[in-house]
Amino acid sequence: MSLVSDASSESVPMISLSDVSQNFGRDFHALRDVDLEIAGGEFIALIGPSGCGKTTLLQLIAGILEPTHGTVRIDGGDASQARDVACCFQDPRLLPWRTVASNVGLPLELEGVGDSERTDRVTESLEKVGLSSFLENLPHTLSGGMRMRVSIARALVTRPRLLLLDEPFGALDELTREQLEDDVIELSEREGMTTVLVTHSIRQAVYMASRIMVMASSPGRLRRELRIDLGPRDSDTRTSPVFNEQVRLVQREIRSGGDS
Amino acid sequence: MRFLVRRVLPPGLVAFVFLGLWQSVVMLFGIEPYLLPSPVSVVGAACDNSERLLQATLSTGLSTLSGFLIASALGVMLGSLLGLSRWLERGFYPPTLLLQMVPLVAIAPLFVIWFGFGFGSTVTATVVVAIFPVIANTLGGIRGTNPELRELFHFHRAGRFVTWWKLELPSATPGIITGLRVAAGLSVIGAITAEFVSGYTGDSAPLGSIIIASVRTFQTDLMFASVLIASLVGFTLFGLVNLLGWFLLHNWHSGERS
Repeated sequence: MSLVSDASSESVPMISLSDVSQNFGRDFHALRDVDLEIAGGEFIALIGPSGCGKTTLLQLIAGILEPTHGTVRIDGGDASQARDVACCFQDPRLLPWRTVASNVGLPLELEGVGDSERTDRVTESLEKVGLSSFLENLPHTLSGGMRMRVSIARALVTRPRLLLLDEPFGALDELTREQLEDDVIELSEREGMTTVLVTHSIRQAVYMASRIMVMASSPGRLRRELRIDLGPRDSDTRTSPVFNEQVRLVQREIRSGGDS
Repeated sequence: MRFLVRRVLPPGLVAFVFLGLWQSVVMLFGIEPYLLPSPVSVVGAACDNSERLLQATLSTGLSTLSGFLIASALGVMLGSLLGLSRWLERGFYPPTLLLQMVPLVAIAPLFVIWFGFGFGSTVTATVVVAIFPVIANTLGGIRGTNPELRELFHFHRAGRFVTWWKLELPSATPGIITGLRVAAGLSVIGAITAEFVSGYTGDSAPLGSIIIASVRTFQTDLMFASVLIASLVGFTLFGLVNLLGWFLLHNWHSGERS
């Protein structure tokens, strides 16, 4: 059992948010006074009740939202300038009129990467998710799990150092979701990516992350930090007593936050 | 063969029965040809005037097609511009709507004053009636672009033009095709109406002028033949739009997949 609640930084933080607040309109405080440091290579999960600002926090890290107050830094630079960030959403978000290859290549196309390099990297990326024989398929001919894989390949194609997961795989059946969770853990370890997962699934957070930030709502803020250590995951991890014990602890933590 | 049986046989049968009934009613009740000509006499009138009608069809067809193409291009551009901002939409949509509400017959003479008899005024009238459904459906399609895909483009810092070209325009294509289908029919109406007004009756008179002239001289059979040909022009244009729609959409859009 290793639930440690103190923050510790192993190295120079990859992501650092200091004193960040986000308001929408005059009165709605989506986030207040958030301080968070995430080290390179770390797998962190943000979890909390709906409306606690987890997706807002992710958008701030992604640099598509400017904080009302405070600073968000990626590698010491401004978040909106950071290039090697990729994101996977709850649903695959593929363009239905484009083939798999063309969908995966979209981020490179928007960056202005040339044709031949794009083809190489699309092929490489689809190999990583095991879909190299579906280059010319249109999204509607694939299963839900395969479409999600295409969207993971699209995230990997930019060779990101930071991977953001916004409630991923929520729309998939349980078996497919568990398979994809394993795949993402393996990929992010192999590629040495820093990964931030936003989720409302406690089991997903405990299974995938090494650190969980529990959030509270109105105003959205970080309430508590929990460290998870399950060791290497295998097929029995999800049914092990250690795993279930940690799930229960996180559950308790979230409930006690809801009362205050 | 299956295609013939399933798609051509039903409408063919209906048309055959309808024409048969029409012919027998005219013959049985001895209806005067100037009131209602029989199908056989309509075909006869078409053959007797074949050269004139061919000329007219080419003239009207060219005006219709030109007007339709201009309305399509301009409509997609204007619809896309209105899609840029709510402010533009609020400002310019009402006047666009007015364009649709003004009765064409009432303003067609004005186009004749401005552009003279013939091609110029006919094409202008065609554009004016045909453009609205293209604008409205383009705008609707762009507004209907999946917000999650917009977020994806925003995440990748795609610019306004790139987002339009790679996301909004393809998303709006099913709507644009619907708009073009409506515009195809309206184009013929626009061209014929303008030709009514210009009332030109020389050797190279277009279909609209022949219709008006034949009504005045009680050549009802010739009028029927001209109307029929005008409908065929519209039908052909409609078919071309459907072909374009199939070509662009059959791969991915459920409405066109069969």
